[in-house]
Amino acid sequence: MILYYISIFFIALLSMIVSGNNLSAAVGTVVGSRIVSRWFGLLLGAGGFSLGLLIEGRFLSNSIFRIMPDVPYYILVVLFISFILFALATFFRVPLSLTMAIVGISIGISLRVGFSMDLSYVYFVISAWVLAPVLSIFFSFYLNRKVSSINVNNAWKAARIYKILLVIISFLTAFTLGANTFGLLASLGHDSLFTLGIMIVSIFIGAIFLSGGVIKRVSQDIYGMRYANAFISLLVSSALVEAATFFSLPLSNTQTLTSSVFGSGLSYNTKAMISRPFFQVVAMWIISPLFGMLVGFLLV
Amino acid sequence: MVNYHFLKKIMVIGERQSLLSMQSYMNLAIENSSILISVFQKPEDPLEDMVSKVSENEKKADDITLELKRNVTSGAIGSTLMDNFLNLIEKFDDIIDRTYWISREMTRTKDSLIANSFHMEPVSNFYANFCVILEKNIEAVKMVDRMLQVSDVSEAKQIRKEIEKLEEEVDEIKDGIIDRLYRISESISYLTFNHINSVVHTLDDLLDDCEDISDLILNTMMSVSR
Repeated sequence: MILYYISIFFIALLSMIVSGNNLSAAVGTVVGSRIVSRWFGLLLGAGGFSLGLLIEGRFLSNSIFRIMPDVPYYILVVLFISFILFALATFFRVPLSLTMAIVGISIGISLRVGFSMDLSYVYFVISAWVLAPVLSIFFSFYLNRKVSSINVNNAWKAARIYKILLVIISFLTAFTLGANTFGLLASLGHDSLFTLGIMIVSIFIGAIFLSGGVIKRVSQDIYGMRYANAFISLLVSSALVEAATFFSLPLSNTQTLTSSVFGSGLSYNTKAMISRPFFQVVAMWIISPLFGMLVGFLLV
Repeated sequence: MVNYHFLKKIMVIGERQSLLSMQSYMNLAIENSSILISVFQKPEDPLEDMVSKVSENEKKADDITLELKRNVTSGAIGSTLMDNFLNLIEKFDDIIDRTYWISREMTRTKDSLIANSFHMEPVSNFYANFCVILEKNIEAVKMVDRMLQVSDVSEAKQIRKEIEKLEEEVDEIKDGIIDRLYRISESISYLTFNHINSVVHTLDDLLDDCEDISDLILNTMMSVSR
């Protein structure tokens, strides 16, 4: 029982960090473009995370135990290593994906203890991780090109529509992230009401106290895009994460969003993009699960 | 209960409201240009009242600039377009500042011409051309005013083209004035040469500002709509 409560403690800590770190991904555009205030953005994002977790989080409830044994000690090891890795990554400002790290550590533990994983599911997850960024870039590129070719007559009417759509899509992005990433985290606490309650409180604490600097920087620097580009990036990203959730696949929201932002950049006729940060993030997508797997394998 | 402030933020386009509030510069620009036309038409007349009116308008423009900049930086505009809007405000303010500079230049020059017993004849011909430029400036300012109000992107593009055409016409007038100025430079004083040369460049800048403003407005409209 004590292991269970320690696990819940780490789930709460991770929920806070993930909420603080990812809030900007969901609501950065609407806050950065001053459509909503920072506080409204916080409520929109944290509300979206929580509702996503409550309504669709159950789709991920059994996913992790197809990869690793459902043993309290191993669950605690996964959470502990994830927390240390995530804390180090945050300290060194490295874009680590929690979803990928958790899956990687779980595979490492299973390999060490000889657990018979559902290999077809593991291959399915890996395929999704490879396919999702490619699809994100493709759809984002295509849709941006399509939208930019539309002849807009009334500029202000279009701006008004985009503003409303951006608020809706920001909420949906938070919702899908809540369903997938927080759903995966909740599965490690067996989706009990107690776990969900603690997670929701942690999500709000993280959003309020840990998102300040990040939301300001991301919303003003990275998401300094036009309304239409921002809308398409969020739409593509949230659609892919939602699809992954329905297939019970853990998929990193930052993976899809970074790729769709990259796709938006590629769609511009005049390209003034610095591709290096994108490829650094891509490198982390490969390193995160492999490193997690190695640490999981060595530490159990 | 629906949050009124939230709905207002969503439904009222901050970018549009900020553009419309820039219309307050229009009357000041038109009035100052009209005053300068009167000054150039009758340079012998007393200038004090006219110059003080231009100066008063310049102060009003400074207040408007302060207020608009405060609005833009305190929440009306998103970070992506903020630089655009601040540039826009600066350009509007520049138009008024330039008309003020010309009015001050006219006072100084007139005093100096009288003190040195110079004749007004050589400059009056140039002044007639200055009036043409100022009339075109008024026309351009009115077009900018129309551009601030339109919603249709293609209409805004059309107005921008018309402003560009006016700017090109003024460029030609300016070149003609400078050519003529150099041709008669032997027969005029350094003071007169410098006066005409400085004023014509400043008048040309007025149209350049209008053209820059039309570009910025169009960019803003394109940016928010696609």
